[in-house]
Order: sequence, then structure tokens, then C-alpha cells
Amino acid sequence: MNPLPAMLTLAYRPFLDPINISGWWWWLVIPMVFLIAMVYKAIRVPTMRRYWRQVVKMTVQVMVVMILMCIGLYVIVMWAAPRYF
Amino acid sequence: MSIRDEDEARFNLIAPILAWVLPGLGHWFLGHRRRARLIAAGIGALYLGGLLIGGLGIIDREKKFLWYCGQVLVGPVTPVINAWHARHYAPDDPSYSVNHVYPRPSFSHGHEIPTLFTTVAGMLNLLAILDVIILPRRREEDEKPAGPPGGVERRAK
Repeated sequence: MNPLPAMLTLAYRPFLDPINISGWWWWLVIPMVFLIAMVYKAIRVPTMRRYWRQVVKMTVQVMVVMILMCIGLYVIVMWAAPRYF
Repeated sequence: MSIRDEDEARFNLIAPILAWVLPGLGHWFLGHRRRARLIAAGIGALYLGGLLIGGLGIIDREKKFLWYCGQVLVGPVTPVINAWHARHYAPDDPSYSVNHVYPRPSFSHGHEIPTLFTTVAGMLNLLAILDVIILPRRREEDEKPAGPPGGVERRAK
């Protein structure tokens, strides 16, 4: 008897079973960037005044730059490269 | 004004060790309690999030040594997990899995993203460790609650 189908239907066990993130893995960049900004700003800011505003600002800046890079790469790969190369 | 003043900066030996033992503990030791809580929350969320998504199997010194080097910067919890994982590898024969606890292996994005999360957590803790090496102890003004935008100076004009 092949136990694989039974194993695939087992309940999720935290820290033992991986979560299937194949359809939405790229959304995880948002919490990752936010947490990086949170730690980085906690280390770097001279005073803690306006701390959260700076965290949000850094998060938005990183996300905007990543989106612009995605658009630029999309234009190069899907439009410019097939046409000119 | 920076929290580092040249005349106050001095080499700390215990704080970096504490920062490696538990993220944020080095800052807590030096009196920067709020920074310590934020560092612990951020690094802890990244590390635990990675482990919850990918399972303990993402920490593997034998197969992914370079990633492990980053993960181990989070603290001694990483070698402990690695030691546990080394004794609980998934057996090749699935029928052997009865009454045998082991982390199920993850693949593709389910493996890459949590590995990235835990390694980034380690790199951020390296920043915290380097920060407390020459970080002065907390001054009184760091603990004062934030005033209105502009502060007292602007209202005094």
C-alpha cells in the first residue's frame, strides 16, 4: 500500500510540515520588507521619535523600487529584447 | 544628534554575546529597552515565520552550509535545531515513518522563501551585534516620551 496519499492529507503540524505557498509566495515580500525596515530602523535611527513613520517610509520606498524594477525588466524581456535582439 | 557620542562610545564585550544569545538582549543590557523590543520582535517574527512556513527542515548544515552560516547568527537556537534535524532526517522509505517524527521536506518556493526569511533574520541580528559593540549606555533623553512634531525647541521660538 502506498502511504503517500494518506501522508498528503495529514493535518498541518507546525514546524514539521511546510506550508504550500506556491500560489502566493510573492506576497511574502511585503511582511519581509516591513520586518527588515522595523529592525533596521530600530538600530539606525538616532532617536525613536517618528520611528513607525520611518519604518513605513522605508517599506514603501523598497516596494516602489522593486515594482519599478519589475516593470523595467518586463519591458526589456517581453518587449525590447524580442524586437531588437 | 546621534545616539553615539565620540566621548561616550566604548567597546562592549558582553553585549554582543548577549545579542547573539537572544536577538535584542544586547540592546536591553545597555538600557535601550524600546530598541531591544523592536529588534527582538522583528528578528523573531522573521525567524519563526520562516520556520512555520518551511518547517525545521530548512535548517541543514550539511546540505546548505552557506545559508546555515546566516541562520546561525540568530542565536544558539539554530545549532540546536540543526542537531535535532540531523537525528530526524526523513527516511527514504515512507513506510518507516510510523511513530517517527521528522520534518517533512519542502521544495521550490516553499523551501526558498523560508530559508531566505531565516537567513535575513540572521543578517539583521549581525547588524544588531555590530551595533552594540560600540553603543553607549542609554542616556536619559532616550527614554523620554516623544513630544509633538517639532518638539520643545520649535515651540520656544
